[in-house]
Amino acid sequence: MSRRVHVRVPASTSNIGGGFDCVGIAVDRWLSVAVTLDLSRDDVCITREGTLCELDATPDDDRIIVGFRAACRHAGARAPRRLRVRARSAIPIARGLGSSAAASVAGAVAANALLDLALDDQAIAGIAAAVEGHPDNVAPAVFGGATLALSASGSKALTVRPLTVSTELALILAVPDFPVETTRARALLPSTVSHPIASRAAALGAALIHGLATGDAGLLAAALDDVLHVPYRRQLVRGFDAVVSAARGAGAYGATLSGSGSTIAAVAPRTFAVAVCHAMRSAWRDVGVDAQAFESRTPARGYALRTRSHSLLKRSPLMPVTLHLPTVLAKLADGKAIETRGSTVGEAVADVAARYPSLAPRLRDDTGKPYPFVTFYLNDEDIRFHGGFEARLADGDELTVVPAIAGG
Amino acid sequence: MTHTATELPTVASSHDDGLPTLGTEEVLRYSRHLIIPDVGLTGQRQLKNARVLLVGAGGLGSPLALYLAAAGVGTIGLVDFDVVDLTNLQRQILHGTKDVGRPKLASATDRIRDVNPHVHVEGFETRLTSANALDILRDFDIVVDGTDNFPTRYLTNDACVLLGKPNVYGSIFRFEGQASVFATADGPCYRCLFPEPPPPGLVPSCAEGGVLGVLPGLIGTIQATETIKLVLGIGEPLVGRLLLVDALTVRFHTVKLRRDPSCPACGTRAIRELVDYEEFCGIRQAEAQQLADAVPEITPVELAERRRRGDDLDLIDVREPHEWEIAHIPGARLIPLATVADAALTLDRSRDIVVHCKGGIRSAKAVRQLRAAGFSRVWNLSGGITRWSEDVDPSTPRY
Repeated sequence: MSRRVHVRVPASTSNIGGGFDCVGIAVDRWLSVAVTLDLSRDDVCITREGTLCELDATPDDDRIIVGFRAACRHAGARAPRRLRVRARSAIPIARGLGSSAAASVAGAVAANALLDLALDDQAIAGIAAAVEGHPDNVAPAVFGGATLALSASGSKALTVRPLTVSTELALILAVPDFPVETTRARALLPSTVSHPIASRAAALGAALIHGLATGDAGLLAAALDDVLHVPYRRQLVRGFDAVVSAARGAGAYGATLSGSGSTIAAVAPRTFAVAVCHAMRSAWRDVGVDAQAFESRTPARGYALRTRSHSLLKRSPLMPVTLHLPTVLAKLADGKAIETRGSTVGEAVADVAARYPSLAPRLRDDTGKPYPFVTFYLNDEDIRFHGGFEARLADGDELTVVPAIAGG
Repeated sequence: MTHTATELPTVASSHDDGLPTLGTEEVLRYSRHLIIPDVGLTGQRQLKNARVLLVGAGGLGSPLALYLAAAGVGTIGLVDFDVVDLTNLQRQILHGTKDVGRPKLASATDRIRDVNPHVHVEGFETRLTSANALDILRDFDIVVDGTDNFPTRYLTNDACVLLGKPNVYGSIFRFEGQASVFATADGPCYRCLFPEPPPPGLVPSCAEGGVLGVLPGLIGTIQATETIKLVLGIGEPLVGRLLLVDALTVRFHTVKLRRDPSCPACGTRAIRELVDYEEFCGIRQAEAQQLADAVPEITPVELAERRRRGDDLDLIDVREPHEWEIAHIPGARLIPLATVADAALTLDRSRDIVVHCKGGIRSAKAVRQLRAAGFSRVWNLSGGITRWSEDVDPSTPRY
């Protein structure tokens, strides 16, 4: 008997202008972690894929394991010594998009589910924030959407509340090809600020909250022009001023550092999202920086968990499987390999279709039936010879989507 | 075969197996084949005896023709009616800069002769159609599908099934490719893989969506390898398997293909003759629909004239940002097609709106959307930015 859990945790942006150190928004880029209690091992083993390939931390220093062990400690449970962790991430690392907060949350959530620690989401957020030191990233990773994370003064207790974001607004993230180390960014901040700056910061914080809720252009424009950290940190981000003004020029209300950079986050009317993405990428390219820019469907949801215990005798109905997409379709989802689940191929496809609305019509027709020009392979077998979308799934199955192409 | 190099002294002339003999120059030329036991003299003579038809002398056809010629395939048939274009040269290595404007067949024949003068080239400067396909394919042993469109792929497949010729399939898009061997005696065919094509416009062609230049090199050389294996009868050909190649991850992955008992081509054999493949692929219907959905148009020359007069026009470019970066018309605004519906809310209904894309298809869709949303003063720029470059401003790069 072995137990396994799968956790998906979103990226997050924080320090959004006047929301320094307290407002965070979940971003539609995901970390997927599968943790298995593996009694055949005698250590902790981690395999890393996607952006995590850049990491070379030992298992003991890996944020997923640190979060996992912190949750165990908090609940008074002994952390298991034998773990197998498979982590795949589409969250850029060291770019101010909460990749390490996502990892800490993933570890704590996995421990909670795997060991039945009975921790609620508030407790998970508190544990991850204590490990991480970034409650403003941890809160949206746990709860999704936009959040206010308030640490009670002098204590570790964390209050988290959801914030309203107008559906007219788009969040655009422009991620350059260079990282900013959080520790270095932190060292640039002054230890104190003057009273006028502090009072301006308070006003901007209020402007941000109301601006996000109502889409008020004037408030957002003011609130995205932070006074507490951007003036000190923008020197770390080459091209900062040019990218911000390009975003404004293309229709954004404003733009600011995401976290401590290097990503620049812009808030814009939905209509201009594509133009803003393009303008920010171009402005960066003009100063010799390669960048990707994307619109995050706001608000992204918080972490998602699926858990099952399995033995050879008992099979749970919702099997975790991986759906592999060709590059051309991967752009409509968040990567080439999508973790999904279902008891049949059709259910797994429906799950992916529900999560990625623009991918849905490329996978199956309006009635949920397969197309004659898109073939699905279940572990390299054509599903049409195994019941089509009714084909049964088993844990760890691999689904491959093969669309007809005609180029020559 | 009688077209062998009879002027050269021949070796191994004592065979009575019906295979052509090799001259001494050929023996030397093919020595790296001859010393592989699996090929040897007999294998090389089988290659010389082989008749392989390449449907398409483009991206896939280029490496195919070059490698099959170099390998000593005796007769290479080529079906292509196209003319070499500058945009072909990024991947179609059969043709050179000096060949731009020449028929691909002429350019290909020259190049093949240069690679190997022992190869006999049979050119068919025509589009492969239901009327001529059986006659053209009949005289070949193996057919290689290197076309760039769905109708010709289904036509090639059905003709191969009807004639019992193996169809060496390859297909590419952007960074990904597929290859297989269809229509062998026991194996599946293209229709077993994809019973029907996608509706026109859903899957972009390489001309619309682009393709990495080396990708046809990867897939075409795999097709060439499969062709040579079939001629020699060695190894395990890609029969009943589909090879999926992803150049970005360098993942080569094969999935199993099965012969579909209900396949109308190779299963039930309901298809007894070639049909109208343009209609099967929905192209005639799409063209008729396009005529029926005609939208008001303005030519680039008219647009330039109205702008010169100082008319207040809102020029909207519905292409994608990366296309805008290649070239755009001064004064135009970028609103990609997918966002037009949202952006309509912010457009001024009282102004004249002109919408354009690369060639006029996407912008016609946008014009229809805007008209459905109640905009009456909206025109499509006919021929898009391409014709703008041709007719108004040649300094605008074409792509």
